[in-house]
Amino acid sequence: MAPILELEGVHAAYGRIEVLHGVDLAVPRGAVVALLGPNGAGKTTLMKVCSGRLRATSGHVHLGGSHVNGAAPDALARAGLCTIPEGRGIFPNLTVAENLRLSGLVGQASAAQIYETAFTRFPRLAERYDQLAGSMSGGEQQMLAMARALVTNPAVLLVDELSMGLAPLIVRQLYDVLGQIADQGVTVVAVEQFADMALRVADFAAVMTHGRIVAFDEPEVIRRDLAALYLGGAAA
Amino acid sequence: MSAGSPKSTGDPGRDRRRREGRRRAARRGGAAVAAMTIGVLATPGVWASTAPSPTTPAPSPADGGAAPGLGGWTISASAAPITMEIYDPKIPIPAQPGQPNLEFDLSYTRASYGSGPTGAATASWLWPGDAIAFGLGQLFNSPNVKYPILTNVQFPGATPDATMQPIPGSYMQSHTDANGSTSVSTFGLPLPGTGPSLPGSAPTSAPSAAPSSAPPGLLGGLLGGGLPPLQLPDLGTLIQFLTGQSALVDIQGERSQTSATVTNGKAVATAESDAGKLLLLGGLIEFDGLKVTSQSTSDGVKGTSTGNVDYGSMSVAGVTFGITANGIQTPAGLIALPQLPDTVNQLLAPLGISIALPAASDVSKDTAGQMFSHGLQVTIDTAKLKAMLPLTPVLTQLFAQIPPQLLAQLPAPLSTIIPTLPQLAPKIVLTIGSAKSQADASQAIDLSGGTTGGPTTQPSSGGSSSSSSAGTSGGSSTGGSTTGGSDLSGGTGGGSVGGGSVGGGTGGGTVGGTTGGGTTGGSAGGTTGSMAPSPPMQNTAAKVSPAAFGGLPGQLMLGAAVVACLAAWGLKKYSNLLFGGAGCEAGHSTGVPDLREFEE
Repeated sequence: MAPILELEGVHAAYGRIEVLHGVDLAVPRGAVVALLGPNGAGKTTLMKVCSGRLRATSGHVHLGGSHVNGAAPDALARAGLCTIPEGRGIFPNLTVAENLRLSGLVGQASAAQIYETAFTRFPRLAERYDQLAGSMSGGEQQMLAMARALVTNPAVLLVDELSMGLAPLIVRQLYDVLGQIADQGVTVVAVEQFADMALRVADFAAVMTHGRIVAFDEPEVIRRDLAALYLGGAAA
Repeated sequence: MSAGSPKSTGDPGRDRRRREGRRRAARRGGAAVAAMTIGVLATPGVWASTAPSPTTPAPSPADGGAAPGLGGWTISASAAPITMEIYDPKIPIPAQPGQPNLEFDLSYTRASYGSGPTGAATASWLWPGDAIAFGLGQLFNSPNVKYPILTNVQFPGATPDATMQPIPGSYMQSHTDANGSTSVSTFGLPLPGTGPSLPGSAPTSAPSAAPSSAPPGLLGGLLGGGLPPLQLPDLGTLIQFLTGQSALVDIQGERSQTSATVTNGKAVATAESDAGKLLLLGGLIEFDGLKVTSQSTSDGVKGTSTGNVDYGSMSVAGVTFGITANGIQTPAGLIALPQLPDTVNQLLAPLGISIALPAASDVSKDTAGQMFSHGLQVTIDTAKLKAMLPLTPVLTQLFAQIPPQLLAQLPAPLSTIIPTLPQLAPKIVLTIGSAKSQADASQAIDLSGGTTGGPTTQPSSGGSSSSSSAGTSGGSSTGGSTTGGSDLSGGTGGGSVGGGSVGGGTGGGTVGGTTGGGTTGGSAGGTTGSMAPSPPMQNTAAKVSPAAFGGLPGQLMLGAAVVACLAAWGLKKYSNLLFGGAGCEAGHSTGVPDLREFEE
């Protein structure tokens, strides 16, 4: 499969502190790629570079076969690259319905279409229609974040730390939904610290340590070598 | 398949999204054009003149607006019976070279009035200059310190009137409103119009106590030729005068009044200062009433000024004469007021004293009338004077002119500086009577746009010397030589160039290019003496066809806006192509594709 998202020698830095030291990654279209790695490996930074929120200091970011270095985040979002950021990024003081309608501004879908898309995938949100998003449980908030992403009709979905602060059971349900989304042809890149959960739905997995991709392979291979990769960098 | 291909993808949802995307782009483009159009239409000067709006009649001065026939004006007047300028670098007040470190005006008034309208009127019996009067708080770093002997009002402002009576016998009043500004300050004299006229205010003063023969002695030398030979007193006599009981300068009552108004279509500034009895050099020279007037007017075409310095009578060494601005009335006839003989100043020079005679300077130019009148100017170099006589008592007497009650009202730093001034060695310049007036105005301008095809002659008329017309083959008349007027109607007609009359006296006052069918615009300037008043400004927007679209300037602005929009769009879209940008070593095109249409 031709990569829909491709990074070549990407370097990125916060001021003078370089975080990514030449990342190479190719994400095939329609695949689910789990991006694993310990804290501080640069996974979230890589997500920021892919979504245009952080500019690569060098290297190339290719999206859909085009060079998109420096492209604005809103342009990438309109093009179909959707990000569910770490911490969900919902508006806690707006209701569920208002959060969904806001996301609908990216496209031209009507409110009814937005609700249909969201509530079909997450029936729980329909029960919380008028509830303030901030008053919902963590799992429901994560559902809302995913629903907001879905209503934009994404082609590439970047998910950062889906499991953060959630019970394992909820995480399993959310990853099941993620798998269903991927089955519809949406490319998913999931940054995750809990490797088991992500590897369960992933087609490929990449391991990052110290700002570099040290492994990219099928989930089973990664699962086998994960401890060594985390601890020692490249697998034997 | 490349992104953005117009071909059908075979996927209905994808095709629908593409169609919606194109419609969105079209809507965005339409919105941009609409916003641009609105912006251009709202631009003043481009479309504003053609936008229908309620016709607003020109307000009259009575209701706080413009005067008929005048489009704008600036009027100011100031007067003071006595001005005391003190030059001494020891005084801790910064001053420009040649400017006094300290200045006091007694019974000072000033008034200003400008189109808007705005106005201001200030009166102060003891005026210390703007820096101290209005900046005392800053000088002493305390906003609570304010100069107390002052009435000052402004329009628009909280109140139109302010009055004050700092000490018995004094009175200050300032008034300003939409019709003008006036101010008056008096001490020891009745308010204008409420008491007997000063001797100096008589239109022509008849000689009082006319001598039967020409005066001898000092007066003869003072008045110059035609009189008996000069007999100057010796220096000792002068010193006796100066060290006597009287001061160098003693004024017994003074007042001033100023006004700035628009009357009968003319901007008028009037300043007048009166000094009651004026004693110089301990009474050696005595003026019984000294009146200095200055008046400037402007009708928007020409500024004129008048000024006068009148003395009711003058006595020198006890001999009294009537004096007018034209000269001195003697039994032998009118003698032109001479320059003060050099011998008098030569006599006074060792004492550091010099006297300059009154002057009235008319500096009117074009539409501005300006007149500066002042009476006697006495310059005292106290450094020299102190070397010749015990000056401190004399200077003390001089500053004793300021009543102690008034001095007590001054802020502490100022009240302590003034009594110490006799101890300094400054140069003091006393100006007895000064009046300044300035008035400038412009006529109302008809801002209606040009007409097409009609006759272009604007019926302008100028006075005998207030019109200047220029024309080439079309207009042929040449008016007077003075400038002024505001008829700027330009016409191009019948192959002739010109016809635009520049000047035209007070008439018309139109600005607008006209394209005529051969009618020349050379107006008959200088042929009549009538000064036709300009019509009041009115909205003639409805006369302009929308097709004209604000004329050439409007079209240029619209074109510039369109070009700017296109340039911005092009830069945004093709900036990478034009200026480079981050290239892709892998050879990928630059841009953000629609990922939903991405295929392997």
